Amino acid sequence: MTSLLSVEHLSVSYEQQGEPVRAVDDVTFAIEAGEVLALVGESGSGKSSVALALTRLLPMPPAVMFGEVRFQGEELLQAPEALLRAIRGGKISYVFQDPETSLNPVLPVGEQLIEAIELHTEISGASARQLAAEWLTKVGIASAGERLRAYPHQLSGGMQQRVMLAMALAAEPSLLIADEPTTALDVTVQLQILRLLRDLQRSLRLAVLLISHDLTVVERIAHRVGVMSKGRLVEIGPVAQVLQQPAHPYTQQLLKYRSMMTLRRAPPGLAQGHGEQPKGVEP
Amino acid sequence: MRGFSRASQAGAMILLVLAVIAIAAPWIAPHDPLRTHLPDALLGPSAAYPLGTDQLGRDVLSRLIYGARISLSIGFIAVGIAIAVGVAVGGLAGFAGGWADAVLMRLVDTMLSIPTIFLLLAIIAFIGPGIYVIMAVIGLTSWMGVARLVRAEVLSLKEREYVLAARAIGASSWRVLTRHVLPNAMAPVIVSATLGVGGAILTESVLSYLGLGVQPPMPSWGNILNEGRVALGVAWWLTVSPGVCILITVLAFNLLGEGIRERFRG
Repeated sequence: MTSLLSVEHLSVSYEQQGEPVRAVDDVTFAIEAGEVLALVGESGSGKSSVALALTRLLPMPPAVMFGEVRFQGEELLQAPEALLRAIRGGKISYVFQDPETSLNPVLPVGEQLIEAIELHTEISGASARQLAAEWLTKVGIASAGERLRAYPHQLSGGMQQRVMLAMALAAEPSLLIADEPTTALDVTVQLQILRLLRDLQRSLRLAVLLISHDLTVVERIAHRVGVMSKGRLVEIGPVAQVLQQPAHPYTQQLLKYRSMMTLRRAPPGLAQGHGEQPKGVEP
Repeated sequence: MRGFSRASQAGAMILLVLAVIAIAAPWIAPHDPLRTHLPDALLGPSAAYPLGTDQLGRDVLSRLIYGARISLSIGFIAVGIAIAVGVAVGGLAGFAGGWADAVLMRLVDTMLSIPTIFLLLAIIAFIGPGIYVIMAVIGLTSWMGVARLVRAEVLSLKEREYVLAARAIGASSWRVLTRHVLPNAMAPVIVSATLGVGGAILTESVLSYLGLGVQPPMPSWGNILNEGRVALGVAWWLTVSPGVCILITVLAFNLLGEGIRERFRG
């Protein structure tokens, strides 16, 4: 069976003062339908570049891409722009880190949500508005009809991110790419958004590529996790396996730092015990 | 009008009054602006003729009221043309970048390097004067500032997250530019347009004063001034009254423009 999305030997480099800088280096992974794959790594490790490269959202000069991205049997890196436009938002959607800057400040959020619907479905006019209101309700926004007329600055950060989720899901894509979807939010709101994301993922059988640096977030909703460092995907496998029995030294270090952070808060001795011995790295 | 200075509120009021006068011209003008009545030539201000009469016995006040129509509509339409061309050129240059940007901006530089008034005179000498010619020519020689403004705005706006977000929902470049980038670049354009209307009215006056603008007998503030010039020694009201009209209008537009600029700056 072929995967929903398969990425083969993906490399991305940027030209910087004549010198090519490799942001993503020979990355290979796959996502199955309905699966949540998390990519973790420190900032600058190339995880966001991977996310943007999948539908060629990177500015093409200066970025140069090699490799292969197959989505539902179609190769995306060489695909014509028109096909990519149909896929972006229609079959592969994005949610970005900061909802406050991801919404156009001069358009009511309803207009932006309706735009997403009209771009990818035959629905328009009053029925598009109706559908937009339904989506706002689905992402947990009360009195949706009124909220459609609100401008982004009239909504809280959590609400804005809910609107972004509604925009991303309105055309019923099969893959959602969430790039640090909770990082810019308050801690309490983070939990609500994560819960919403997990519920939507389950009810819509959505595949999710979750980009995060927060292992707690990853543990909560991901099935598998890939660890990136300096542009390379150093380890990938089921969450339990990677986080309990990390095979790669970088992952081990990442987890060590994390337990140091938790230990500072929790009394010693209460830290989770680790498993027996590391297993092989899944390709 | 919250957040606007007193001066800009005054400017807005003056312009409102002027606009009403211009629209209501046929009902409020005391006389026919075109009817000549030689026995009443060069009369000073009086009850019958509040601002006196000209060499042909026409009522100056009525001519000024009708002239407001011409001058204001030239101002607005010329600026409309300038904004349309400027936004298109600046938006395209900033958004496309690369060689399109280079070519368009060199065109702007070239246009800016030619003194506007000589360019205007040369073009009008070729195609002949006329109210529509004036509108088009003023508009087509004053869009460069707008183009530079818009390009600078677009260059910074296209790096915004919501532009990436718009592309991520599958919007085409055209849609991203017209719906997500340009509307956010409108603040400085509105300021520049307001200031531009005053400038365009002034340019029209200059051209009409030189006899290349609005042609008699149609009244515009510039050509009333021009016709009054020869009688300056005996009939001061012929030149002072259109001069004051031009002054007040341009001042009002500048006050309003500055006020809007301050307001956008927050």
